[in-house]
Amino acid sequence: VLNMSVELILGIFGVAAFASSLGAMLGLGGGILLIPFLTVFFGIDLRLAVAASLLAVIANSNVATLRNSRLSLYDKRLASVLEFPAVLGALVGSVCVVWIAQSYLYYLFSFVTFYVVVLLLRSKTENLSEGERRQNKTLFVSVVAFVAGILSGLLGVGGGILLLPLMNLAMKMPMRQAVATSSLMLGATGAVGALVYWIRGDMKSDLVVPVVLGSMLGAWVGASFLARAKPQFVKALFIVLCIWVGLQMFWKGYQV
Amino acid sequence: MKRKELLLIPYVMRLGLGLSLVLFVLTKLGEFLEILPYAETLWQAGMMVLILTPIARVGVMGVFYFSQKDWTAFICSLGVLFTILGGLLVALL
Repeated sequence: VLNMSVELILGIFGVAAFASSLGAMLGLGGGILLIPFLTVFFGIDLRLAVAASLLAVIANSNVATLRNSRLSLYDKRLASVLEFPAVLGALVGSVCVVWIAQSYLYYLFSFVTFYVVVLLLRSKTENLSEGERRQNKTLFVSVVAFVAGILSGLLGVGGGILLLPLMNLAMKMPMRQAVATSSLMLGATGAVGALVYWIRGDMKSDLVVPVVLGSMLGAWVGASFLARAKPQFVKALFIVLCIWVGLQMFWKGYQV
Repeated sequence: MKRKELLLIPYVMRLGLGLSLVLFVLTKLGEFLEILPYAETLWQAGMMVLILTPIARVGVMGVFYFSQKDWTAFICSLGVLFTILGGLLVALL
């Protein structure tokens, strides 16, 4: 038990709702914003913050998928096919984390993120139908999803930041549909990590309950906004977040 | 069949989400009012339901792909379930 005050619990609830609404809008789950907020502003231990964030990602994925299913926004089959290499990669990455020098990986991830920004800025809108996508580069995309999963397992960063542009750029999926498909996939990826942290005893009810409830609310707001948002706006917001993540990774690489 | 598929995922999600939400709120409310016994067990159950929801969703989708004879998607769904099991074993060991 962490013995938190009511103000602190309400603060965590608000931060989780904010991070989750952005996460649902961009198909990223929100952990990338939530973890720095919890550790830096609330002084929560990193392991506890990551554990709570994984549950927040699951809650976000569930709520966003429910909201998006009404509009049939996501591509279920593509999510099922990409989920496997991404989850497998995350597991391989989390096992290999002890053998690989992380500083180079932070720089690599930072470089890839900035490269993604350039690609997104230069890309033209060209959307393919579900049937055409099945023929289009599925093997290549699966391999990249596996690599994205490994990086996410090694660095503790959600693979969504790489999977979303992959679906949009390589598979020519419309931005909003790519966001919804990414949201659907996040649940299973988060479940693997959440089970591990739960077994280790890092889940604390005082922290998890406000984080999860805030995430549920935030995901509902974010997914509702996604339903009305213009694809260009979603893309611009994603680019801003990519730059933030790229800088964060570069800074971490510099610190290690 | 298309409609059946459309109904499956939201149904599983709604059930898992609703149950975990009720358990979480009940636990915190019970703790706050000091009226609820077994609060720790209830909150652990809520967490377990939340974690199991996406896993159940993958399982349901796997069954659907099997019924549709879409073997690529079926193997991928099965692969996700085995990977989760593998992750669990790695954590336990």
